[in-house]
Amino acid sequence: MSLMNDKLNRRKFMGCIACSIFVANVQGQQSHRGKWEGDLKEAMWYTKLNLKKVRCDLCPRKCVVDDRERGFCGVRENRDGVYYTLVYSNPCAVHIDPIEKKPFFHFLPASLSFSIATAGCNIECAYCQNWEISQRRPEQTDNVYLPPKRVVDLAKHYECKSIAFTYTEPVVFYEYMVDTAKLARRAGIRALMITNAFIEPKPMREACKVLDGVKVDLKAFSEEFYKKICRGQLKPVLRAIEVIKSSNVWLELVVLIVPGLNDSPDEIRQMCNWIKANLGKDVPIHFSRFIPMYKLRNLPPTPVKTLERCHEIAKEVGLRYVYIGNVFGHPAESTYCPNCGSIVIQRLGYKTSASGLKDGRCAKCKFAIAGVWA
Amino acid sequence: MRVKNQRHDEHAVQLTRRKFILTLCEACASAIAFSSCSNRKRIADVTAYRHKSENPHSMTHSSQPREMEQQRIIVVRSKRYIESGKVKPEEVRKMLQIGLTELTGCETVKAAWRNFFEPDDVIGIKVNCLAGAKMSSHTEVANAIALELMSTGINGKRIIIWDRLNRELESAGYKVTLSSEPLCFGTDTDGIGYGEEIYEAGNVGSQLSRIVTHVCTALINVPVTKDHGIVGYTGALKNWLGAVHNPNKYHDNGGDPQIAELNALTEIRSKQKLIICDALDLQYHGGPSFKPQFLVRHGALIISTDPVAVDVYCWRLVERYRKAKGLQSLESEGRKPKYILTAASEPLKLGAADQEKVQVVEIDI
Repeated sequence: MSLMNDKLNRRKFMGCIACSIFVANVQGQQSHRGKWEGDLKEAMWYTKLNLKKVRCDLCPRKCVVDDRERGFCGVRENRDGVYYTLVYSNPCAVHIDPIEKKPFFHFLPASLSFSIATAGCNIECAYCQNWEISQRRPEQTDNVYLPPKRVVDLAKHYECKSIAFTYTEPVVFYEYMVDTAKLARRAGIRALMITNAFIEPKPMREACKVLDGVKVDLKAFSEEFYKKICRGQLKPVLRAIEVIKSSNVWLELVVLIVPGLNDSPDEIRQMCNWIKANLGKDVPIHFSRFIPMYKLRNLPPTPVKTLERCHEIAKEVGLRYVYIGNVFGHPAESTYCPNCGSIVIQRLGYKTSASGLKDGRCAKCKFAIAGVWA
Repeated sequence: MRVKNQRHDEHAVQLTRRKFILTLCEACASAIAFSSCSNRKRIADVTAYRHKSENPHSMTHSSQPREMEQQRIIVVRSKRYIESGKVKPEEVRKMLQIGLTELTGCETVKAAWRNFFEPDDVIGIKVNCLAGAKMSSHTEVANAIALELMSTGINGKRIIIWDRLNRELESAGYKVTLSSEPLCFGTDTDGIGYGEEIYEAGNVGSQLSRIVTHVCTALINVPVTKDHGIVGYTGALKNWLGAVHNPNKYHDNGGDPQIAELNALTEIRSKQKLIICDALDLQYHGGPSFKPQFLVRHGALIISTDPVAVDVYCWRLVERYRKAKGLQSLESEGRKPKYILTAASEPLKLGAADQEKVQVVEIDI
C-alpha cells in the first residue's frame, strides 16, 4: 500500500492485510547506502579518557573505545577522542503500525504509531527477529535522512497518535530518540520506547522525562540466559525497569518464551513475583511465542500450552493484565476487567474493539482499568 | 520493503530489491569461484563452503593437522628498508624473496610462491588499514607481494588487495581500482558486501565478506604489528575482524574466544595460505590508532604459514619494546592477548604458541 500521495484513512489501513506500512520513501525521500552518516552528532553520555580513548556511559556494557573504533552497538564511533553517534536522523526502518503491534495494549488502543528504527543494538539475542538491521552497522543498511522535525511532521500527516522508537534498540539511537520525543510532545504526539532496557539508570531517567510509554522486552529472569543467549545482563535491566516505573511513564512488559531456555515454571513465578513486588500488579505482561530465527533455528516455536502455563502462573501470582502474544485468535489477546471478568478491549489479530471500555473504566462494573486511554 | 506479518516481534527487514540484486551478484561471484576451481584443493574448499551454506548455524573447523613447515617463522630484517622517510619498494621485495625461499626451502623465488599458489587461484591480500597511512600495512609490502605473484605467472586481475572499506584503503595510501593490476577494493564495493550466511564465532553471529567466501580461492594475511587498547595485541589473528560485518561485537572479554574461533572458520582457515606480517613499523602502545610517540622503525617482515606462531612472536616483540620504554607488560595492564593462546589450544589448535616448538629463523640483510 502506498502512502506517497494519500492521507491515511484508518479504515483503508485496517483493511490492509499487511501489519505495517513502509514509508521510507515518503514524498521523494530515497533510501541510501554509502551516505550513511545522517547528521553526525556528538554522543551523549560518555567520558573522555587518556590516549584519545572514550568510555561510553550509556549502557551497562560501558565500552572503552579506542580512537577510530566503535562500541559494541556498532553505531557510535570514536573519532580523535570525540564520541559520535552515526545514526542521528538516519533511520533504516520507517513504518506506520497499529500500536498493538508494539505491543502496547493499555495505551491509546486502536491508534496508529509512527515507528522508526536505526541500525544497531547493544545486545545480541540469538533469536533476534530483526537481526538484519539490529546486528548491522549503519553503512550496511538502507537508510533515509529523517531529522526529528520531519519525523514529527510525518507522524502528524498520517494521523499517528504516537511515535514509537522500536524494531532495533532505541538505546543506541538515544540522542535521535530524545530530540524527536521533545518535538513530538510540543506537537501533541506521544513518544514510545520499545527497548531491552539494557541502559544505565541516569540516561533512562532523563529519557523518561520526554517519553510517554516504555515497553520493555524482559528476555528472561536468569543471568545465565542473558549472558549466553543475549550477551547482556539481567541485573541492570531490572534496575532500569524500576527507574521507568518510578518515572511515571506507562510501562508494559513482554517476555518472549523460548522452549527449554526461559520457560521453567519456577523462573516464570520468580519473575512474576518480582514484577508484583517492584512494579505492582497493574503492569501488563505479555508472554510471546518464539519463532525460530537468526542463530536459534534448531528449536520449535513455543507450544501454546507453555504460554498458557505462563499466563496461569502470572494470574496465580496476582498480576491483573496478562496476555499471550503471537498466537492469532487466542482469548488471552483481549483485556478483561479484573473485577467482573467481562471483556473491556477485544482483540483479534490487529482488529481492536474497545467498546467495553468507557472513560478508562469497565463499561459494566465501572472498575478503573490501568492504562493511558486518552 | 518486506514486512513480516508477525506481531509483537516487530520484524522489519530490508528492501527486497536490494536482496534481489545481491542474490544476482552472489550468483555471478559463485560462478566465477566455481569456474576457477580446477584442482582438487579448490573443489574441497568450495564443497566445504557449500556444506556450510546448508547448515549455517554451526561453526565448522578444519581438523587437518598443521604441517611441519607451518611451525617455522622467517624474520627478515633490513636497516635499508627506508630512506628519507620513504619505504624502498625494491628492498621490501628483496626481503620478501629471501623470506619465501627460506620458508619453503625452494631454490628459486618462483618455485617458492608456486608452493602456495596456482595460476588459476584468485588471491586476496588482506591488509589492515584502520590506522591510516602511518600505521597500516604498507602499500609497498602489498604491492611487492602482488608483483611477486604476477612474476610467477598469475594474472594481476586475479590478485586483490582488500580490506573492509574503500575509504580506509584510500586513507592508508592504496589506490582503489577495479581495472588496474592488481585489483584493490573494499568489501563495501557495490556488488561485493557480506554474504547472507551467519557464521558463529564464540557467541557472535557474523556475516563474512564475499571476498573471502565467493571471490578468492586463496588468502594472504598481511597484518601490522600493534598494541591494542582492548585485546592487547593485534596482528595476524585479529586482522580477520576486517572480514566480518560486525567487528565491534568481538571485543568482549579481550576478544577471547571470539577472535580465535573466527580464525577457525573453514572459509578462513582453509584459504589462508600465508602470513606476511608487516613489522617494518611497529607500535608498542596506544593502538590501534596511530600514535607517533609509540612508533618504532623495526624494519622486519615476518613470514610463516602459522598465524599463532607469528602472533606470539610479535606479541613478545611488542612486550620487549614496552619494557625497554619503561611500560608495564600487557598482562600487568590487564590486556594479555589471551585469544592467541586460545587459538593454539584444544579444540582449535590453529598453530603453535609455544615458541620452543617453533623454529625462528632471523635473517639480517
